[in-house]
Amino acid sequence: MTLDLLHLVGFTVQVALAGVVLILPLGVGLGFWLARTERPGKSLIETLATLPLVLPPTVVGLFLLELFGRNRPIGRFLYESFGISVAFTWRAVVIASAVVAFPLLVRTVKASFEEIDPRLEAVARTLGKGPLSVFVKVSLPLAFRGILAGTVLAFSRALGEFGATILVAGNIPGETQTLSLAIFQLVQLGRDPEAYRLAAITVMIALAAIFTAERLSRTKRPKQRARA
Amino acid sequence: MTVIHVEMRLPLDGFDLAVSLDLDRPVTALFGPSGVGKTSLLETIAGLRTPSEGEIRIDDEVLFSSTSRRNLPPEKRRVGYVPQDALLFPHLTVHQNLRFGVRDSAPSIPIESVVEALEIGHLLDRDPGTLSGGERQRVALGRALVSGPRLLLLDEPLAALDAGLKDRILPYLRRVRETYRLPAIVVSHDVFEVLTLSDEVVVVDQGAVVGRGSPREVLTRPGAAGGFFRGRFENVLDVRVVAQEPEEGITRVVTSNGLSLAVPYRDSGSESQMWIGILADDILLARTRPEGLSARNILKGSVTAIDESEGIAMVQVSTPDPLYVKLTHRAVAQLQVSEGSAVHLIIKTHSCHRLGTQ
Repeated sequence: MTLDLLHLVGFTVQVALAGVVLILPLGVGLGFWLARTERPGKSLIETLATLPLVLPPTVVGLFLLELFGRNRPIGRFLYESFGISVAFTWRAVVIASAVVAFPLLVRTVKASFEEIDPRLEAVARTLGKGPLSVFVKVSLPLAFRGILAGTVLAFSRALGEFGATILVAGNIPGETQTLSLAIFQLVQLGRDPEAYRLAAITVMIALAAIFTAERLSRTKRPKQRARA
Repeated sequence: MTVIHVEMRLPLDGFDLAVSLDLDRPVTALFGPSGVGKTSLLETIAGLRTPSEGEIRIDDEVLFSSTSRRNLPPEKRRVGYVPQDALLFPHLTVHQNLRFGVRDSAPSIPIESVVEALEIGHLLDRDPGTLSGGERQRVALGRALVSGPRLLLLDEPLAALDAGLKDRILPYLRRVRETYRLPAIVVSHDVFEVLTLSDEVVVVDQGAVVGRGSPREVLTRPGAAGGFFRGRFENVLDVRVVAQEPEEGITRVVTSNGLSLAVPYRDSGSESQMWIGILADDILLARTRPEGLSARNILKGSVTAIDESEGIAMVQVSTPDPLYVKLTHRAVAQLQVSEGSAVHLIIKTHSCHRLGTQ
């Protein structure tokens, strides 16, 4: 096994980013809904959204394989209708990271919306703004830091995804191999020094993500919470 | 004149808010203790709560009706709501907060006009978190005004302010009243605010309307406000300053009925008229004229009514201005006070609070 380090790092970051971008709209929407709704079905949906966090990633991987395998319902449909293969391709890597990162995003986003006084949104309604406009102009900006934090958390989780990925995407160097999969393989082959080098790179990427998020959130004006 | 029709039932914690009101005066005050549903009533009119039944109209336009299943969303009601804690948007500057209320479709009051009337021009670039309580209230009021409301709902505009600051927001409220001539419903438990701002008082207790009348009627008679005043009734007097005696520490005032009182001295310039409040608890009643007391006000009068319930007696004494004195049932019995009894009222100078000026 020879390592194309640049490709490996680039691929890992790309799939993690793609996974996060994939879940961001749904994660923000669901987080908001969970923070505001009182409907009876809420706890069921919340449990389902949390499931990938508490299940062993291998179980998530098995489940994804059941859905996206070439002979499974969604997998076959995608292949026969569009000629798209999912299992054991980069797409499976993206989906696996997205699914395991989803609960972290939703939970962080939900918490940040819960911190906003819902009466601020109510007052915005009396000032002539509809629900969507209030969401965009009041709720989203006020939850910005929380959403950013959730995104970074989800990205970090996607970056280190292993169990689900290896099951649904395999560990194919140059095709589906990410940093963490490569580390695993190197250790198995007894090439520990190289594994440590990759581990150090992973740490640096994670640190860079957190640093960037800090910088981004600081460009927003500091907020005083108006409370009487 | 705009008529606001509110007929509704809304289940709250422990009781139902059930009212039926037609409000047709420029400014109506909702008066009563906290936790009885006054804020919920405002929120229902604004469309932030949905009643279980009833109908809410502004003139002929139906905002809510349980029979015709109509429930106009808050953004379509054009009802300006100023909550007690102002609730300015913390991520926007004062100017952006004001602009937030501007509508494209409805006729609205220009921002410049509101900024001028409320004197908030110097605050426009500030963050809401850096404003004082009174400034926050003014900005919230301005934000509601520029949204072009047909009706203003003000929830305790003075509540977040201490006594010294009250004088500073009231003039703005009065100016808004005069400049924009919008009908308004003001929640308050501040006697002076109600007296100077409203045309009619509706007294609310435990989710129901228990009294209604002109501010003078309601505020000068404990009975008009249902049971509310039993706890803490304040006699309110409209007085004229006759002499300032700083070396004595008193200001001498007199009512239009000729009742003369010594109240605490306060250098108030050329101020000649003010409102004085005296709590019914703070007045002593004696059958004979007491001697050697420190109290500066000893007033002769006669008992005109005694209203007793739950061991407490509200004794009305004509001095000739009617003053209410709160006594225990036992005191009434021991003193043998009855209608027509000649009594003396003893009021310390410092029991006379200056409520404010007209």
